[in-house]
Amino acid sequence: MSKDGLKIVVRGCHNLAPFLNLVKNRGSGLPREIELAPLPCTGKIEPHQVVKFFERGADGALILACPEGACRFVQGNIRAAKRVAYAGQWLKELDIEPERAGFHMFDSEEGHTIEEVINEFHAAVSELGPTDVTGNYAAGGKK
Amino acid sequence: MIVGDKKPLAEIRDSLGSARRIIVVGCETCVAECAAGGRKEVALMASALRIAFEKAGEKAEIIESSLDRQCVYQFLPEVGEEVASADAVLSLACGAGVQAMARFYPESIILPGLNTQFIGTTVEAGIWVEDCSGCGDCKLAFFAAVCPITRCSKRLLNGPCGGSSQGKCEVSPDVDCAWQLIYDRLSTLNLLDRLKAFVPANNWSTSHSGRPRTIIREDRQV
Amino acid sequence: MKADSKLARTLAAGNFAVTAECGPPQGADPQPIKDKASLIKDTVDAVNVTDNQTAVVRLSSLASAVVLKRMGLEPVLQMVTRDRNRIALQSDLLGAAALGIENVLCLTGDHQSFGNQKNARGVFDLDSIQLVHTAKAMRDDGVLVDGTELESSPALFIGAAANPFADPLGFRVIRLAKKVSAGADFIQTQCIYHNARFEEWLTQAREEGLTEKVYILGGVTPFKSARMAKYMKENVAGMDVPDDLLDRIKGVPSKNQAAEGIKMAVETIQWLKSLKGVAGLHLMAIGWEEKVPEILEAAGLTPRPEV
Repeated sequence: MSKDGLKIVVRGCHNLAPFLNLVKNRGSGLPREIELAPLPCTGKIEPHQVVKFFERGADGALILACPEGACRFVQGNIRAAKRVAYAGQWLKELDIEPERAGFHMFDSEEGHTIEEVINEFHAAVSELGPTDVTGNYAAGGKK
Repeated sequence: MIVGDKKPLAEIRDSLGSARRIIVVGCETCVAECAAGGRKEVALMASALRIAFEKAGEKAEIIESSLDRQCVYQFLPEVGEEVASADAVLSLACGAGVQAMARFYPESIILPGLNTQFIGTTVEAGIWVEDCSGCGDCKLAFFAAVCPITRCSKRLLNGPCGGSSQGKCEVSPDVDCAWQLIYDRLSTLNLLDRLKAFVPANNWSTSHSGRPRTIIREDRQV
Repeated sequence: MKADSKLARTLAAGNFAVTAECGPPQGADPQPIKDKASLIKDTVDAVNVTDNQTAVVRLSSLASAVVLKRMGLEPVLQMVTRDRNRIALQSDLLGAAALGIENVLCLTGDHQSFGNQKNARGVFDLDSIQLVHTAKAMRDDGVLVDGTELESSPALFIGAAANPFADPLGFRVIRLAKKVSAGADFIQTQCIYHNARFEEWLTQAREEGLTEKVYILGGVTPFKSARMAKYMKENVAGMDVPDDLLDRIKGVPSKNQAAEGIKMAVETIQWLKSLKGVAGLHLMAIGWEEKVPEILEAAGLTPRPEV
């Protein structure tokens, strides 16, 4: 949770045109607490990055990937799914609901808009409520 | 390489006790290869610990670092300052690295973050299998490079036992029968006759079974 | 010196030998094994006593063998290499001989993960063939495995197990040959359901001259029910139960399945008796010892001849 309330992080592949549009429009139409940013490929996401979102106070983190078979780096989306799931296992050990780390292969053929997918995730996280982690620990750092 | 995997967080937190300034030290050799203790895993562990401490209402400082190798003293001074100022060191190295750190920093509490498991191979990304038990008397030449001591669940030297079924060990369908593998390899190499030879009782004194081992090479001593 | 056990003498005389099997209880009171043994006393030449079978802790095979011997039965002491190192195994071989127990069956043993002590360390200092070799060296050369001389050597009749049905198939006779040259006097096989495959193995063994060098006792286990047959087919490693056998017992109403199982076992025994190179029968009616006399009678193997 951030000081403004619920905090949700969304990272999506920059080859997902609807997502890129959303990013360009600064997420207009979406609740304020959702933060969007593109990735060159969701295959780049690492478990420690996902857990870091929660360390920094995120209440939900959603990774949006290209549909099955459409990844330009062939298997990036598949890899991302497994890594998000792995991050979920760490969250579980930390008594944080693993479903707060979400993953979705977005396929515009399926009929939902990307806003609908994100809003649905937002609703699910709101239902869970904020985590009790704000990121206000004593400063640590990288060596 | 030496292969290990992370300990459960609850166990790590328990061993940290009242430590609140903690340095997590990774190793960039074996444990980085098996995705258990390299830089990324240090970042992940540190992040998780920060979350855990905050949830417990505790203030804590978690410092991240990594060394090229934790099992060679030459690399260890790099983290000297942080180790001196920390309440505890969580090492993500294998058991050798953890102990090297403890010998080098005898005044510090050094804790393991991994369960070190075996000497093995990356057979494909994400899959590591045990290959070598360090028996000290390598027989791979005779057994066509398939180790019966490590890969046979019963360490048979005159195998297989009666539990070998369709190439799998009786212990689990996930475990290949080493003797089937040996048989197949010797078949391929036209050396099956070798299996007619009686292999006598093994000398286990060269393995860990004898005692913790030491090798000294005077020509390498400074 | 070679043993003078009844089993050894029976086989040497060329009589078709009969051995059975008894499992010790999971407790200190030996009465259960005494009860089982009483059911088969005098109908067999010798009785195998299992050694912590399937890695389940039971009254020790050596103690159980003594109990049986005191009842007038002749035991076959099973020894696995899973639980004891060469120091203990050689010591126990001396102990067995000292107690007049001469028949020893050398086995590797089921892996410890099968039993009730899954956290135990599996010893496996020796394998079964090395144990055979060790027993022979103690008996014939009066030395331990490292060459140390014994003050006195044990009289032993050394046995090993063979499984004609486990993989790799092509290797099974080679393994039998290894056991024979390591010093096995007798072999007991895994229970036979696939007759053709057993005959193939036996033929190969004969061609290698092995049936002249070792006494082979064919293993038979009667089916108590179709469910047992199905279980053995699907869940027991190294077991080969052909479909037609399973169909046969399934085709009979459940109240008649036990009798059918016995009928099938008797047929197998009669076929075994006809095979050249088979010196006897190892009847493993585990948990069904009361049927042993009936089966042996129907197979024409009672009374046991004096030797």
